[in-house]
Amino acid sequence: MIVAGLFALAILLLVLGFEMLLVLGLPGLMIKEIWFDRLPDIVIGQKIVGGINHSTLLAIPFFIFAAELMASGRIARDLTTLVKAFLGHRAGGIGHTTIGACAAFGAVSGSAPATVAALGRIMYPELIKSGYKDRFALGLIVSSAETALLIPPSITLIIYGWLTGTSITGLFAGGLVIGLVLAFAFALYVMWDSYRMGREATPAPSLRERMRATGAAGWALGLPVIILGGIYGGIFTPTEAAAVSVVYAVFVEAVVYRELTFSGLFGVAGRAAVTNTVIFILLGMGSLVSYFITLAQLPGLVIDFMQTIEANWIVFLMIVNVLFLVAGMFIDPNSALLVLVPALYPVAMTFGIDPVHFGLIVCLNICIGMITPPFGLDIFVASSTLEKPVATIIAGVWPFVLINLATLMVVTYVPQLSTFFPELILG
Amino acid sequence: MIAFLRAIATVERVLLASIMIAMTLLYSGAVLVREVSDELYRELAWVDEATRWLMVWMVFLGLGLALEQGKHVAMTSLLATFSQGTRRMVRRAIDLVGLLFSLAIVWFGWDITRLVLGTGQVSPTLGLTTAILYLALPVGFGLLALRYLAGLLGIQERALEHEHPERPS
Amino acid sequence: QEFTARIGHLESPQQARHQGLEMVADLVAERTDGAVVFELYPAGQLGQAREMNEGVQLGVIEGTVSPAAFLAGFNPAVSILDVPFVYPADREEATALRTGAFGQAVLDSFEPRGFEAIAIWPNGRKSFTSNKPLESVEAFEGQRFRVMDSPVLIEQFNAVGASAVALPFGELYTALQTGVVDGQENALDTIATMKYNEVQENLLVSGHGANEDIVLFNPGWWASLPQEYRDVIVAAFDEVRPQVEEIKEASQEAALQRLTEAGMNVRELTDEERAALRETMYPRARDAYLELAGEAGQTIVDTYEEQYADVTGE
Ligand code: NA
Ligand code: NA
Repeated sequence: MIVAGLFALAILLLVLGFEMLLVLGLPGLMIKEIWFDRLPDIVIGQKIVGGINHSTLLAIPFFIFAAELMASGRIARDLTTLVKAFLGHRAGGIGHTTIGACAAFGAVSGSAPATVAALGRIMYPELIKSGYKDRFALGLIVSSAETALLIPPSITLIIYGWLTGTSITGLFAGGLVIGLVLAFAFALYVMWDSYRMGREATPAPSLRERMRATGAAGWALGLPVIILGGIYGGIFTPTEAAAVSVVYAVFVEAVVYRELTFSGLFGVAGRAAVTNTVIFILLGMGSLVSYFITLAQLPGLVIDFMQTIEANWIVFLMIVNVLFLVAGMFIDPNSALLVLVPALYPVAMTFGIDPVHFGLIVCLNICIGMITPPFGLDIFVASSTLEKPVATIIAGVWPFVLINLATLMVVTYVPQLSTFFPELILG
Repeated sequence: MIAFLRAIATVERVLLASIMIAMTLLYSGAVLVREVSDELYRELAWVDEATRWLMVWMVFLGLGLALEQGKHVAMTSLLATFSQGTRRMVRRAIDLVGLLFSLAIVWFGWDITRLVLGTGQVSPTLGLTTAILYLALPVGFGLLALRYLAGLLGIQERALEHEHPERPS
Repeated sequence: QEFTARIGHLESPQQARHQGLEMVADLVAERTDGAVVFELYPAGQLGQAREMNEGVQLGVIEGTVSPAAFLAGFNPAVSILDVPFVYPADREEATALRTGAFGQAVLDSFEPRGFEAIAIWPNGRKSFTSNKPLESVEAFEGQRFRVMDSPVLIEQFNAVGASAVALPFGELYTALQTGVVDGQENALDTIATMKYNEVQENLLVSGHGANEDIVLFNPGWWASLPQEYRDVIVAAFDEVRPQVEEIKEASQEAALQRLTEAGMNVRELTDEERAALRETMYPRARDAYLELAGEAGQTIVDTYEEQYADVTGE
């Protein structure tokens, strides 16, 4: 009864336009005072700060800063001119480029929000210029960024590997396949959308135009070269790469192009900081709410339920998916990972499910949690970096959620898709 | 009051930009130092922690400014359909709830700051009291409370989420 | 259910620490007729190590079992356990130190810091892995190892001319793969669980560092327990300790076998190398410790060195 009341309150606050930090924080405080009144109040401060004070989150402010620099300077323009010179004439070219760029960025970063932050500012204006609808463009960016969690390196898969003792290489190999499958599914949707919207191929730009665009983008192309080269060359970690990309962007915009002034840099840094605040305060509030969900020991109830209905593996995996889907709607998906996997993994093993297969089902669910409302971190990141209302993004994202769910069903019930490549590698 | 709020916003902007730039310099600087000399890099074990603490402070220091600029995530599509008068009423309700909530967090945040200071806990590599980390809570939510108060008193009308102008790109 | 303790820790449910805690929880429930209940939260569900330790201090949770390495910020005196070769290779000699005057001195150092520390549990010994050869003590020179943020551990590597790079655990696998660092140190089962063998060539089974867990309770909650329940809890942790060590040993052996089968170049530290490494690493790491822990540290070092000589007959 009280649960339903709090839920109704949260929905009411949400639709009335209360700031999301209040929508999460106010019920959080009330849960604390109603059910955990003997817990010292300091837990509130501890969890809000604890949800933010993570080394693994550091890449996000750096990528937001870098994206802000590039988008307000020349690098983004040069890069998109280049992409258009080679792919812009194809029907769906820019849409496919967005998916490809997100997948490539995913090979650098293990963070979906960082991918939205870094690529959203660059690709969104191009998608709009190429005639994509606002909602479609937003949905495409937000969803394509998910592939960062599947394509290695992936912190989500590393955490799963640690929790369960599954081979990280196996998970990475499977994650690569599933990430590409997901990207392919999105690409098909872009093709269908292009057909439906009557976007047609235009004559290809001449070789001369392409050469000119390539030449102009020389400095901009240095960015992916430095990031990828630095990481795979063992010079820095992905988080450090994010900071280095900021320095490189400042160097190119200020020293090479001489367009960025000191006060300009200061303004961009301040805007990036506010964008970061808006995203991270929700991580803090989300951490508060998920703490109480952990203390309520809900996963135990679900496992008891599964035992009473004597589920088989098909039903079990369906319940796992529903559980993650619901959890992912309301709490930070990575918290769901920590709470649900230790409870569910032993049950999965009794059904003889392959650990890599189970890991990829979980990871894909985490991806979906990033884009499902009301608590969809990637939606918030897109909303604040692109300055678009949350409602517009949600309206654009739902077809992609459906594609995701269809992919999830295939991944869940065709185990070979997850396991053939890891088995090939690990023998 | 308006002048006071403007002055605060200026200070916040300068602090936020400085922190963002300092984080970048610290983190990328450490990479450079590691490439140059492992000896020197040994002295920089505190960089990760310092950068994280700066990030935490940046997040909370930005709360008030983000509200003033209408940047906080909110679903305002229903609100936008209301009449002028209803909308104003709802906004005052949001301001009131936001003010009370922020003040509560100021209170809880101050409490944990004080307690952690008392335990003598220090960070492993910086050697500074962890209370500094938690102090960001009362300060940040204090700045947020100030903006909600200004809204409640009708001193400063903040922008609806989708009302702020599109940025040139 | 008169007394409930929420106990959080970082390890996964399959690991020795959690299994030991489950045994303790059963014993305690049985011997107090269900009056004392331990609710266990593994895998960092209640937060990171720092948050859980702070939570125990401030009464947010009742207990935690924390690696000593994560407690330096709360009680610098505990870092004595980070000093390389703090325990002799022999298990029984190590147990004598852990449960004797030295162990008690370490537990006592938590009292003024706002913790009730009631037991030290062994959690394996660390070994070195690297993509560069680890054929001799000299081979360490110029190599880059990842460490946790601890001045004592950093000094351990400085002593042999290697560099210590403080990286978050979550980034370690990728950092080893791409070569940001050459090597790392961890218990064998951690190396196997995290599959570092996939990104590391050489393993030196050195057992140089002790992974020790400190069992901590909130002093207020502890004081609220009747004396007989406190005795039951302390006895249970004591009783389960050898079993935890056995589980850990078994998982270490299984891990070593897996790592060998996975094709790692495995080598055990010889007694001479062990003596040479201790002679090089111990004094410098101890001095770094003393700088950190001050007077409280000096008392512990004195107790330690006296008992160490006693136990080993050196
Ligand atoms: Na990735
Ligand atoms: Na979600």
